Amino acid sequence: MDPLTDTDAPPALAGSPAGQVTALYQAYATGLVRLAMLMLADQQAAEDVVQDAFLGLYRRWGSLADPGKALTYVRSSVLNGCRTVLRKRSRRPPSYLEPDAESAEALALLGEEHREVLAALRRLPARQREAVVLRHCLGLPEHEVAQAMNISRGTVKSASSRGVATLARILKEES
Amino acid sequence: MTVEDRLRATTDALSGTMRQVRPLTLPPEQPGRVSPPRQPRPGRGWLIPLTAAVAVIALAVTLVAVRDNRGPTQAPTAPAANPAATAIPRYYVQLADWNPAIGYQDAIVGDSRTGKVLGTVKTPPHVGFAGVTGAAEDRTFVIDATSNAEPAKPNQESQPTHTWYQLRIAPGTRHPAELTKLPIVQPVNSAGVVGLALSPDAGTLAVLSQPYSAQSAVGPFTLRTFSLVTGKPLRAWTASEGKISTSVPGGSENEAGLTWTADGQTLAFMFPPAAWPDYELTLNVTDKGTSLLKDSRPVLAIPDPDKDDNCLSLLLASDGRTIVCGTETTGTHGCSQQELQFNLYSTASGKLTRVLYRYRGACFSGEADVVWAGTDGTAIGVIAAERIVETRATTDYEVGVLAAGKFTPLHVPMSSDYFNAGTLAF
Repeated sequence: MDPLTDTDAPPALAGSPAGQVTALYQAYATGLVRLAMLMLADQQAAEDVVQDAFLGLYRRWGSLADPGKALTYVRSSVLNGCRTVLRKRSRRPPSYLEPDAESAEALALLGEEHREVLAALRRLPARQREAVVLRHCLGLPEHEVAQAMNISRGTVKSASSRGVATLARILKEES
Repeated sequence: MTVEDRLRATTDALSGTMRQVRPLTLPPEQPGRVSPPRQPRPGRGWLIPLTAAVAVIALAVTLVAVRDNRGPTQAPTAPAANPAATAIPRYYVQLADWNPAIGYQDAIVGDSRTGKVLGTVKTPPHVGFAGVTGAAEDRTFVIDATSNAEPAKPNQESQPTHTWYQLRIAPGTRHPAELTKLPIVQPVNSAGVVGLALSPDAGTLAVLSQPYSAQSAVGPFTLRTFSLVTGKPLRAWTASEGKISTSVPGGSENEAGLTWTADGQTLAFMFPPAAWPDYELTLNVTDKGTSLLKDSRPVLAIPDPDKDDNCLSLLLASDGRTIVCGTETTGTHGCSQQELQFNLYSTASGKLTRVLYRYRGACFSGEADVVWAGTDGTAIGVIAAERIVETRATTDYEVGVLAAGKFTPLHVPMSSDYFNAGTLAF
């Protein structure tokens, strides 16, 4: 089962571009929104990022040499979109760093221990956060993390192990 | 419960709180019509003529320098007499605007002393930039552009094809950057490039690569040299001994830290790339032989990546006698106990000889990357120091000259969230 899709196999792609992109969305959107939520802690923003990524895929569909790589493309686009949202948030006062009210309500349903983990994740530098989320939260293999982040597999190892060590330190300090 | 266990538990719990994802909304227009592939603009008066050796195929330079009030009459700066040995290069090329579908879309040409951007070169149609390397004369760069060809058979992974371009810069002129296609043909198109280095005289391109399929390497690493004038392959060395390393390249085209010495006779590189234990090897390209490992000489056992005196990033200095290493904090103690630093190692002894520069600021993690290494005691490096401000992490990313224990910042802006070897060249 694909860790990002909750499905056993990718959808068979046939028909119009809109139909193919929609089929991919139906198969992968939930997993990709989960990825964006781990990065942003805000479902509304996460869904916006994923919608934008699929819109970009649709617009480039005709120029994709290999539609089989669509998931790689859209996963990288989601990461790019998350970086943009985080950059915009970082220019705002600290009060705007928190998720919107609806997302905050949803997060309140999580246990305290999970909220601590999400808060600690948000304190990681971008490269470590992305490597940790893709590798350890979603369980993607190293080569797919490397493709999504456009870094080498060696850097994936380095960034994810540093990220886990930093998380351990943050969580220990806050316990 | 380990941190990894907590991460998985939190992911599961978060999934349980998710609302149903809303349906996808697509616009009514036809795909492909919204963002058609870029085409070269015809009729530019400043295109250089076609020559026998190289063909100009695409020039799309944003002439930032022309819009400068000083205008195009500023005289070009003459290159230093022997820049490889003494001078720190002034101009850089940085790949930017990464698009996951095609790669980097821009090559920014900048002046590291003034901070001015001389021009932004756009990719030719249907390719993305993937790696860049510069010559010692500070005017010639070579860029690898890749595209994904159609797979040979249904359900096969598409394979990248490599096209090589020369980027000549002419600061202070009307045409500060010119991109021309080189007649180099990569023998194995599906090869992942892990090292690229232009010789000091800009005459020879060295490429370290490994063929791979979807998820694994399918052949040995091969180091090849090509003539920039004719495009013809000159020499090839293959690591045919032992098992195939399964290091599949990600996004970094100089993961191996491939570089030339100033005399243009020796190449140095880390091997195997992105794996440990690994070694810095030197290869005299004037000697006979075709074996990458038997004909190379190990000059440094690269320190353990998990130790405090690690060597995240490494380049042989152009004198051939010194290796510059950049460290990373391993995350256990942060900068309070383990500082970011650039270390010098001797190729004669393989030992640490001195600390070139030590970062004194506060950070909870970070990394030091070597971009260029001139002679003993001089280098250009990147320091990424990561801190927590309020409730979020910030990364200060600075490019500077390292000499005599000092870090002198250069005017090179960060073009992405990460530093990747092979995306910034001096």
